[in-house]
Amino acid sequence: MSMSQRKKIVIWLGMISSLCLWWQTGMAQETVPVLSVHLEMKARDADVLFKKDPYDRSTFPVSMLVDGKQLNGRISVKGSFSRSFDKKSLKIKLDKGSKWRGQRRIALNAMATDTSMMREWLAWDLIHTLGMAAPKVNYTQLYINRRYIGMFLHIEWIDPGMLAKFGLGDDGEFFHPLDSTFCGDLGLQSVADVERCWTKLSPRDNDYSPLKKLVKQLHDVTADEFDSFLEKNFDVESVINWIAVNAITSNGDTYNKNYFIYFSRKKGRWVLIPWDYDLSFGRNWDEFLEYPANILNDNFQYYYPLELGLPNPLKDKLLKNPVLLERLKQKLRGLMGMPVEGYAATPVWFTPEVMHDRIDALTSVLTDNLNRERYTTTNAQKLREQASALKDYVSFRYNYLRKTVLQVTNWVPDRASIKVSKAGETESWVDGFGKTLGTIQALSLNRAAEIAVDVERMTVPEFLPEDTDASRCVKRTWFLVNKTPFSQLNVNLSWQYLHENSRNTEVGKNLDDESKLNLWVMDYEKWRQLPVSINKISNVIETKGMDIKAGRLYRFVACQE
Amino acid sequence: MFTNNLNGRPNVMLQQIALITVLFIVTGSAQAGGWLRSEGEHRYSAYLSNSSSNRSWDRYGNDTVSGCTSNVTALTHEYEYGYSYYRTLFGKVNMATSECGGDKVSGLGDVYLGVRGRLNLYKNGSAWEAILIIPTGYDGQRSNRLGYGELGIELGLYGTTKYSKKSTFAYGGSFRFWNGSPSDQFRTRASWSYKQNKQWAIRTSLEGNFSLNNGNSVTPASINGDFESEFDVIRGKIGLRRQIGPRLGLTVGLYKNLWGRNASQRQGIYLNIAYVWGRL
Repeated sequence: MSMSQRKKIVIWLGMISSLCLWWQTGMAQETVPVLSVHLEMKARDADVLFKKDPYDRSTFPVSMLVDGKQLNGRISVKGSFSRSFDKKSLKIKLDKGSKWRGQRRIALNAMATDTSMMREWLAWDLIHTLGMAAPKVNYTQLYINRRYIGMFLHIEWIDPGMLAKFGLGDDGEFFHPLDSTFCGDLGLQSVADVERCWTKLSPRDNDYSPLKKLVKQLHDVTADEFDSFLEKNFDVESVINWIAVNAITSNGDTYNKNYFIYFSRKKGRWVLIPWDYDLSFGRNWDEFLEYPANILNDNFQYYYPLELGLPNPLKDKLLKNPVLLERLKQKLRGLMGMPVEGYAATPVWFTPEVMHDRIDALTSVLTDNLNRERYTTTNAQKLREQASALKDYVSFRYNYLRKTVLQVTNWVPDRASIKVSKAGETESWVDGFGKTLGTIQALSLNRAAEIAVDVERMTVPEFLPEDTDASRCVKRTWFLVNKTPFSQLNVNLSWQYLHENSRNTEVGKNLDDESKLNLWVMDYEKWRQLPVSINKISNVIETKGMDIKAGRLYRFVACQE
Repeated sequence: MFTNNLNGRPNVMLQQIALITVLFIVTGSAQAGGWLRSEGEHRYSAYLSNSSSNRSWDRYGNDTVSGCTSNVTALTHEYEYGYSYYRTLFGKVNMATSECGGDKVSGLGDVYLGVRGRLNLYKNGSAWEAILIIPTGYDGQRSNRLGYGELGIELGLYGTTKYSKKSTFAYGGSFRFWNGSPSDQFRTRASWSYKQNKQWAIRTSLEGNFSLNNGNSVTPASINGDFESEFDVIRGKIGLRRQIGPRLGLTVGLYKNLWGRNASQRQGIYLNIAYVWGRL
């Protein structure tokens, strides 16, 4: 074999391995497309649009510049409670005959409630990966009068025209639960006073009889018959995908609102279209706080079961039906890169590796022009902290779903043991309830070691460093023991604590700034302070380069000075 | 100007005092002031009131007995439209039935056409207002009447201060200029409202009308009243508001004239229904 032939083979092998890597990691090499929208409007209107009373519904004349053409229309602020943010979500309605990307109505979401600006995009990316009938979504740089305003998320306007592109026809019955009344849960009471809970989007009439009939059927059908009922009346995949998306993203802010339901006459079936994923990927509503802290907070959760969210017969009966539950599980397995049995494989989307690369790619795109944003609600530091919390969410949620839904092993809480055998690899202690207690990454080790962790949760630590105010401590103690004789490791360690909401929390009552937490370890009856980095959103305390010796019990506590 | 002595015609005088106060009642807007509608938004309100009086304040502010018991039922229809973010157009018309001592009159009062603009570009609640007052076909010369029968112009400024999410103070004043005999007037209002929750609110207000004392006597043949063009009154109001959904609001309340000059000591009840549609 000549040198040139060898070179060719090496090049080909390189290309093939790169292709395999790209296939595995999906997003890693993929660029995130970003659109640009240029608007012209009166300077006074442009100023007033963002600074006026948030609940004013006025529209203003606007021109959209597209390929040298000027498309005229009106612009207004859209949304509900997000209107009170400086950065407003916007709606443009072009004059009759004018269209941009095939539509007269253009929605630009400011993503102001989510300082990562990623959650909605990620959820829609998952929805598209599953092939659901859903709007196209793109990050969009908005300019008004040639001045950069900021990064928005363009979400294609959801109407029958959009659904027709998915072969569902545009002559169906289109319903949406009202956002403000929280009662569009497809239960019988949701149609008792139907216009209180629902709005009919198309056709524009007051005929709610198809919805009422569906609700009655959903009420009457038993869980055992639910698989055949869904096959007959629904696009089954749209329902399973909806539950799967909500399970992956841990989105409970739906089921009584935040979705669309469409009866396609063309298909003779109902179709589910998901909506609104800003309160997802770990973010959590706080029922014990007043608005706006009930929505805007640093609460974090990843351990809600598939039943998360309020009741809805579609979800409730699907989860009780063995056939449909198995289909859902196989869907989740596929998304999580686990072997799928008996069903077509779903693209791998939700593994820590794929997601961490995806989040890094988004961070890069979003931080690029962040300091130029005119009405920003985040900054580079906040965004990176959120990105890190998102990665933690992904790892923890992945562990949780594996352990409690897909590969149930035991139900022992608060303890776990793992074998650390390779430097560089990150392993997690996951207890029998799927809770991630902590993670370890060996920087060096002399032999494989079994490391066990035990936690005392929701309790002020029994022992604390001298002069430490117990009320400024995390109410959790972590115990770590290296069970393998003669083994010695140098590791990065991170510990997770609980802050689900203002009541169910391990944050001490006088612990007012979690970013100032110190981590202490008791080793041979002496307390030693460790260098830390904190993510107060995902409630993770990390220390780097700690030595772990065989047979030693280490006790960790975290307190604010 | 107050030029004539009324001592010889007490009944006519007191009747007239009562009836002039009608003007204040029927032109008392349900919700004028500092609020602009969103562009494209509509608001209709109906303000129904019923009041009675058998005592008055004379030209010096002294308490006197009226010659008859006056009863007034008035209904004001008001419509507002957000022409743009910067301008709200509005119009209102009064309908009233006024009776005193067997003298009864019913029908349309004046029509008001106005425009309201923002004093603060970014914040709702402070506004200027200009109104054209147009008489309809009622008899403006009879003693028991539904308006002056003259063209008028009103120019006002209004503001709002929010003390908390629940408590709001609104205030403002206007000058009303009349063509012909009636005295020009300064009108002012201060109100405080407290929102108990999304549904319930309580509102109290003080409203004043003060003549600028530049009116002329009207034709003596009509009513022999030197005073109909000039009167002062301060009124207190209290109301309970129920918001029914985002569009419909209902207010019921009581009002009472607390002090006056050439005005009746009137008290009554009111009901206001307002419905908003368009850009909600």
